[in-house]
Amino acid sequence: MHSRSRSVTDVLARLALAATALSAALAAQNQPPAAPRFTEPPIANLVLNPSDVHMETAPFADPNPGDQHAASDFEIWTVSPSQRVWAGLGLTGFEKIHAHLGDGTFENSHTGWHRLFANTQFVLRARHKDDSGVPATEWSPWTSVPFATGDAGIKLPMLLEDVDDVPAPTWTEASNPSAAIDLPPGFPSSMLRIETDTRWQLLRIDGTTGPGNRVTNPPGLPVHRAIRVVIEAGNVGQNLQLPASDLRGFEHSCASFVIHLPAIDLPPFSRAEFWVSDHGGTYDATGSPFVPTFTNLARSVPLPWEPLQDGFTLDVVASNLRMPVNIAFVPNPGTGPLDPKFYVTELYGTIKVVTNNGTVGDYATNLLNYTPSGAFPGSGEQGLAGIAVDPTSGDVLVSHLWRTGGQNNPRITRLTSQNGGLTSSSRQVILNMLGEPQGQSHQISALEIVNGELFCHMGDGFNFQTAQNLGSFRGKILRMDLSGAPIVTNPFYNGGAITARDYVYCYGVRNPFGGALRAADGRRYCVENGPNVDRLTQLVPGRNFGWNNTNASMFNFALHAWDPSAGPVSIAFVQPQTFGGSDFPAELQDRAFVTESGATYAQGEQTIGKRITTFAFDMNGNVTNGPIPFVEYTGDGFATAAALAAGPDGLYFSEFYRDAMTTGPTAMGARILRVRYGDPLDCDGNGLPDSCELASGAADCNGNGVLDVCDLQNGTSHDFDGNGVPDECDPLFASVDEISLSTGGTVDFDLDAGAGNAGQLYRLLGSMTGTAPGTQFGSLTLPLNSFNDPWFQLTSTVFSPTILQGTIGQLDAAGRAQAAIVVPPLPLSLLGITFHHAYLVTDPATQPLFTSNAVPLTMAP
Amino acid sequence: MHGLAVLDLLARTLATLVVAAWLPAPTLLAQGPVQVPLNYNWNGIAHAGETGQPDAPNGFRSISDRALDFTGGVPTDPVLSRYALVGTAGALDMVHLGNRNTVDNGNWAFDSSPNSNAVGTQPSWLSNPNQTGSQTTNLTTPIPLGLQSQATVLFHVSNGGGSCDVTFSFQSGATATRTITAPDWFNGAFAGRDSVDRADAGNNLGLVEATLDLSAFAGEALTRIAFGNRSNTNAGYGIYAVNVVPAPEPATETRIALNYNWNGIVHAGEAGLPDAPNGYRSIADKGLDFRTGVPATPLLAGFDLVAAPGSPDLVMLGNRNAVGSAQYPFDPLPDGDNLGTQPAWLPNPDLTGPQTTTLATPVLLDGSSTASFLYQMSHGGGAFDVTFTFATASITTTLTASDWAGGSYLALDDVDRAQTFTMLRIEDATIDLSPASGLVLTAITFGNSSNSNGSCAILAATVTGCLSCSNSGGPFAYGGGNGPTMSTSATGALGCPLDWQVQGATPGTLLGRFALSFRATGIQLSSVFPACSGTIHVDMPLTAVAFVDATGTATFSLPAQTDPGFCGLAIIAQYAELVPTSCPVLLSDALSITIGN
Repeated sequence: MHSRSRSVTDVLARLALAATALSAALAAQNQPPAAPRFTEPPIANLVLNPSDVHMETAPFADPNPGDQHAASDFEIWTVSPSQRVWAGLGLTGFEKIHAHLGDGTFENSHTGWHRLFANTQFVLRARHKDDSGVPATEWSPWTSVPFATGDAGIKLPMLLEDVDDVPAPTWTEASNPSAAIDLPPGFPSSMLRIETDTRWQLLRIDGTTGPGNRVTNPPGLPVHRAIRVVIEAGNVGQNLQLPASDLRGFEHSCASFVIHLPAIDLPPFSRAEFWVSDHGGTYDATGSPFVPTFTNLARSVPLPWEPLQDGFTLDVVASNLRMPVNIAFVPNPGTGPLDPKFYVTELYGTIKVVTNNGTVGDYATNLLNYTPSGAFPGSGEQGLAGIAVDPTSGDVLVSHLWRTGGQNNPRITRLTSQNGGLTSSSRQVILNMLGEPQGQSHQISALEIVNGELFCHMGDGFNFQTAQNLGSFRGKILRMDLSGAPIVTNPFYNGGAITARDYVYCYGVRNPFGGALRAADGRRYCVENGPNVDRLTQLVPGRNFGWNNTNASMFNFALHAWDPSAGPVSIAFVQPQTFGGSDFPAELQDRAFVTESGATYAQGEQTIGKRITTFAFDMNGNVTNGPIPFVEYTGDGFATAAALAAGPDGLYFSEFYRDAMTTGPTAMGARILRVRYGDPLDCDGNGLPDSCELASGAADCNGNGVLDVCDLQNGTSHDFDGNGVPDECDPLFASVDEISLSTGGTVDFDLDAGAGNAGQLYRLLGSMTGTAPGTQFGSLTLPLNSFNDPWFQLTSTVFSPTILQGTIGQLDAAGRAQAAIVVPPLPLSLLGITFHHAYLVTDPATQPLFTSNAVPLTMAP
Repeated sequence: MHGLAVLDLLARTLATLVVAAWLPAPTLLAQGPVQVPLNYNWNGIAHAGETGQPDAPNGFRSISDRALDFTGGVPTDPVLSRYALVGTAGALDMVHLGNRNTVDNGNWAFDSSPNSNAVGTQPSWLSNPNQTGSQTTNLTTPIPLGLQSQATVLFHVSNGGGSCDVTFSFQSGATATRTITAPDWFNGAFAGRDSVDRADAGNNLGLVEATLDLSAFAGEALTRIAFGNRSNTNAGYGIYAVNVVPAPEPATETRIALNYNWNGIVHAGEAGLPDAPNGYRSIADKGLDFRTGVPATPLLAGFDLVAAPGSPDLVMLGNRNAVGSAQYPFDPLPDGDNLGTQPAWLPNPDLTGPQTTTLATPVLLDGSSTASFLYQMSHGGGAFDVTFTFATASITTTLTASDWAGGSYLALDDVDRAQTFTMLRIEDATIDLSPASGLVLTAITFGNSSNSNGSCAILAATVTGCLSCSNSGGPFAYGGGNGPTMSTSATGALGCPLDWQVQGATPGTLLGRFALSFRATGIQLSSVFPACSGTIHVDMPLTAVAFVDATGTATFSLPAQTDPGFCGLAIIAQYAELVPTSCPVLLSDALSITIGN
């Protein structure tokens, strides 16, 4: 019994020891980081801007002392279905604790999108990763927070939590961006400050006695809040008077913002307060000092449209138009500054020509023989609509109404020019559809020339029975030659006396405003307005699209149905066959772009309409994705998107109405805008201004003021060794990475080992067996394989000073040298072999000091 | 405080609450918006069973020719989910502002008798179709308003849209009128019905959520909401819901002992001695007159102001030698004029740089935290910055002041002599710190004056929030329930209230109890009642009656405790209810709250 008892004691003692050891082992093991805590959104179930979701966590915490925050994953899931729709994985840098939608990728139901769906429930989750390198325990548990998105078209406040010191914010006159606003001094001084709705300061600018202002820029806040701008007049001896101005700055990660301030005239000791919308418009905050309201506009955004995809910009190419309906580019434009570039139809009977240098002129006027005098919206919505340019003659063909016998009948007119297309000299009606009266909206509209055939879209004239009547031109898509004669292969062509039936390409449509050819499948597509449902269709010869005065019929053959109606007006395809793809990126080629006008003359941002959307198609012409918002209206005015055409340098669209309220919808002042890919201020297209990226330390190793990544993209620099750094910044630069076996050639090398190696010895060596594992020199590795490598041996011995020129020598006072290898013609058996070269620096006692990168040289035929 | 004493104190508190819990109207912590029960006057939402019966005597009627479609229940929508909307048929479900007999040019006037068309007869619930006058809701429980208070109104307008007024009445008798505007209701995001009172499937309708700022009425209590004054007399207005963000629950108020650097208030015995080596000195040319004590005004009542002579009593921001175009520099030697010599307590007259107070007791900010200040500024007034420093961040805000002259507080002129009576202004400002909830405030700094010719005096400061512990705290879910769930809105912070909320209890039952304890256990309920699942986690608990409402929800609250001895203490709560089933005990999950950061 005693021995048994001792035995138990021994076992317990051993267990105790084992437990101690286990505890120690566990203590030594890596523990996962603590689950992140969201600071934004700070609480669950907030309603957030679908375009701007701030995802922030509290700083990394880990039970293992010394563990650092290596990376983070952020994910957004829809609740129903439970599906990941956005992911920013493995984020590093500042984004480890503060991610935006632009830091990740949209996927699944959100593939191709650039914002979240509006009015949808989501769950955001995040986890932190430590730097232990232990896969099983390096990730924290996930933390989740549910949220919802609000309407996409609702004006929301600008949210900020910081204003970067570098680049410094600027405050300049709106009409002269080079003129800085200089606040006057006083007792007290005048002042501008950006603060949150909670009155937390983001930036303060005070007037000073000297030139310039005193800027106070406190540290960033712990959370994003809605911002407002307060301008205090102070007591400067007179009213504080400032012109309209723009306050520009950056938040973390070079996210830029602009605040558009109105002109100011403030008596002493008074102040002006403004809420700021998410696009920078300002609104009087006097009546609602704590809750952002956007009722009383102070100054609107100058260009109230925003491309949603990084890398795109907008500019105005023509102004002071009156209800521009359609745009037609000259297919083969001249290169002179005054050569016509495109034409624009204005609803009330004028054709504008816009030249290469942007001059806007009248090509033709009085295309209507009556004055549309009806209400707007209403019977005033009629007149001149479609336009196409004959690629052979340069003649302009337009569709319009013409009053005959008390009725407004549709017709197609050809206009010719004697001065290179700048003004029309004569006109000829090529198809006059008498007895087919049309009124507001449901009228003759789009024209398109495809392979010498003219397509014409015809509304039903507010008489739905016409759409099903092959004896009527109305409610049809017509096809004819450029003289106005029907194409004999039209599906209902029956020869004899030419009637409407002979022109019909397809029928059963209501109000087919827009149509365009998709070259990839040779089919034309159409956007059509219904009563409450609109549709996108592929135009198939002979097809009856079934319009019968019901919304249900608008679903017939719909590739996409807008339900409720969004008012699609124009469709255009960006494609290589049209001006080489309009300089758009490859992923957007062969896509349809559609202007959605929304409600007639609606003011401000809209949930439905006032945007351009895009559709992707498969090889069979089926819509695979869309409509995806591409450009959205962000202003406070009345402009909406109508005309749309792919041009040589971007996608052009019209604001159908003047944006500012003046004399109503028919006022002059509408514009043509261009969406271009490639922001000159954002060479890498990541949505961040280059100036900010450079100021924030982005790589510019050659100091040319251009991001390295852009130097490589645009060919200014090359990166033969593929290390992501322009070769001229590497210790070893080679002039070429390929050489012809048949002709030979010379490779010039620039060696730069740094001033610290000045005067030391170098040896440029080569390998034809690769770079890994390399060759060891003391503690240094030269990235050239040497074992059984004949080229390494030959370069080591400098077998031919004629071929190996300057490959051994002494670095100059800057640690630099030049060398060259003169490659003679070589046998084709070496074709495809890649040689590498690198150099070793040693001191006179041959102690290795430095090894360079390896540069490749491939043998070509 | 000794640990046992703390337990005793808390036990006494709990026992008091247990008794108090027998009393009616246990308080709920009002964190979210209050869904105001409107005085509905119209059945105008089409619910299941209400369509296709245009002449039902007691049924649905459109306010014009359309209606929201709730036949599938209240739609799942992030906006609608915030409001209390009527989801059942046969009830008034909106405030109607208009006249059905004249709306849309009278096209939808009630039929005089039932027929087969889509227009119904005047329903029995409608005594007068003319509801164009003000439509008023009196609140049975006034809603206290705070700095973040706002009202949101969910509504729409037929026949072209339009505006109407919303008038808020407050307990003080004051009123505020705001205008809300909506476009035409057609074509929105919500399913709609048409065909007037037949309510056939129809086009979508829009709803507008208007937000009205009520923060200017902080301190008031909202008692009435009225809608009226339509801009579109041809339209029907449907107002479905109003939410009001109330004032937050009051949190612990910490009166900050500022790092005073100036004796600039005239206390008893300090007047008439401009050259007293250790005496009063004006920050410019005047000083508040506290010789008879701190004035008893509502403004000053919430602050600790220095009431005794002979010590620094304000934070000066400025330079006495430069203020007022350098008219009041200290005399080099005592000379009997109004300008004193530089006092002994002032090593350097230039106090234009940042002036910092490190808090003796850091404040843990919570969701209702604010900071309030009393201050004044000479020579034209101006602005200065206040920076709140936390362990990991800082927040700066700008306070502005008018010139200090002409206020309502007695003061004394003649620079340091303090002889002639005058009046001065005291400014107050409150800064919302609630979005920084969870941060620990450690210091407050004043600086960056916009008026180099003026002096600024910061007289007092308070910060509301919870208190900081050295331990971490918060809720912990034990589970263990067999049906009801337990949750809390509390963070566990010292100095802030604690609450437990049970959901899933039997609505209206009188047989429910909250059980609270300081220790956890793990007794299987089946060991007592074999048919039961669940685990009892409270050990030797105190119990309190739970007042379960019609939704099966009840809340137990503990008032804020400020004694640091409570830090680290865990309180576990579980709900139990007797039910007539094979398992006679309905047991909630257990939830403990540890007091700490």
